[in-house]
Amino acid sequence: MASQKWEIPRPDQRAGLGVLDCFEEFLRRNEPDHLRNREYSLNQFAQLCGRAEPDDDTLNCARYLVSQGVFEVFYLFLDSHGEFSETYSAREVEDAEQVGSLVDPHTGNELSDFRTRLFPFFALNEPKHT
Amino acid sequence: MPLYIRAPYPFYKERVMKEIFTLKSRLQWRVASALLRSVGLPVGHGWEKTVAKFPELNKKIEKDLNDACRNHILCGDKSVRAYRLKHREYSSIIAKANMFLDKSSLLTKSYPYSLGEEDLNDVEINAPEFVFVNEDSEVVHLVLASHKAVRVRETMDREILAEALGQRSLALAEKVMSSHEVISVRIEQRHAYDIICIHKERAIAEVRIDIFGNSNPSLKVPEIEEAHRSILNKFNDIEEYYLTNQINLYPAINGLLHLNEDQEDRRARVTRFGYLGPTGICREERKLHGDVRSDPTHLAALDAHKDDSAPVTPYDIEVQFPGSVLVSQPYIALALHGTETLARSEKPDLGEMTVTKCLYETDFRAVTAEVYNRLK
Repeated sequence: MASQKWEIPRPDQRAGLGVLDCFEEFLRRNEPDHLRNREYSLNQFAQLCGRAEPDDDTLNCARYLVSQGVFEVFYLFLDSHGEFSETYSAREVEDAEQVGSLVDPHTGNELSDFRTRLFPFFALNEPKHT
Repeated sequence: MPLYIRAPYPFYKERVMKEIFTLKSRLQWRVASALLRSVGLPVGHGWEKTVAKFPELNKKIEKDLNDACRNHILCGDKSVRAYRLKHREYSSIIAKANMFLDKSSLLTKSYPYSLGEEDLNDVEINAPEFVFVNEDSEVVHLVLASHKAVRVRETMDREILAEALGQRSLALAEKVMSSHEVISVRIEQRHAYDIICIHKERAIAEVRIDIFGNSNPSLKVPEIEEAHRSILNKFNDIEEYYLTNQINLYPAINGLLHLNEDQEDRRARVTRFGYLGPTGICREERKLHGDVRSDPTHLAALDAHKDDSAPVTPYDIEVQFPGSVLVSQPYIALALHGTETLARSEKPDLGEMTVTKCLYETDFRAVTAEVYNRLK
């Protein structure tokens, strides 16, 4: 079976050369079939773009791919035992940013330092971009 | 501090404060918020704001909250051991359990609500007490109350702590300020409800121990072991040597791995799977968002093992099921936690499973049935 190809519009030039470079590398290095049913941390996403670790360009490239519906972003919550115990959607995290606190999924108490507890992960959306 | 003494609420809120305190002390917030929405209550940002925005309550909401407490006592966040029964004569067990009910006891009077820590400290409890007995066409429930010491972990305000420590040791204060997070661990007494549930048709009795989600707060393995032992001891007062034939749940793990596997829209998701490969290497896969069985890494690993003559040996699994009654409820989690040692033993024997995030007894029975149906 022939592998599927990406159909994602290029980001605007104003996004900057670094972001464009990340985007091109992402298309060159990856095929949709290889990314399905996997979850990628920010570090792993940077590697998909050919970078050793995440920087502003990979972050902005990730934002662009999420805005285009290529990836879904979700967050894992690190609980007080140091374990990832719950997932949060991007919408829930946006709401928490607006309010200035996240509700602890176990106790129901408000956490103001929630940003250090949430870790973004990316999962490929099916399959309108291919 | 109990929620119901924190603020003077309007009288209509005071009427349900016992229910709210019970749900707050027993349910994880995400489950509780889904429950509150389902009974028609507005949910705010956390417990405090939710209670503050309660509207005028009607009789139906009060009854729904009361039902939720009764249901959660039976099925919420439990460590479960199952026993095959020697005989199907249950009426004498019910009669004897009823004889043990002490209607003057504070624990019996407080059922189906949870007492706060201050109230629990006033009660002398040496062993679990029978507080409620119920029978329907399918099951017999014997409800036992006690208290358990749990560890509650809380993030501390670093600045306040550093200021307090700074008066004694500047170095310690600096260490606190430079740390990522400071967590305090507090021992708290919680009102626990443990259950003996006799399934008439299956001739199985389950001992269900309250573990309070076992994340925060938490109980350690020996404490759960001790709780199971004390329930068995108490039951021996009613019928000696009745709960002796404990069921080995290990054979169900392999069957659960293939649950709904042939269906495109899988209702149940496998979120954790641990197994021993034929080369003797242990693998543990975990996926909170999705199903490990769909992960290419998992499929590739299993495909590689297919080429070998020896099959993989599973020892650990967690499956999440959607609630049948409450669609908006987070997934009910069923876990059979084994260890590598279990997988390597000649006759693997696993006596315990945990069920968390379950709100209704009917869902609990449906989920545990998935295990019992896969034991052969």
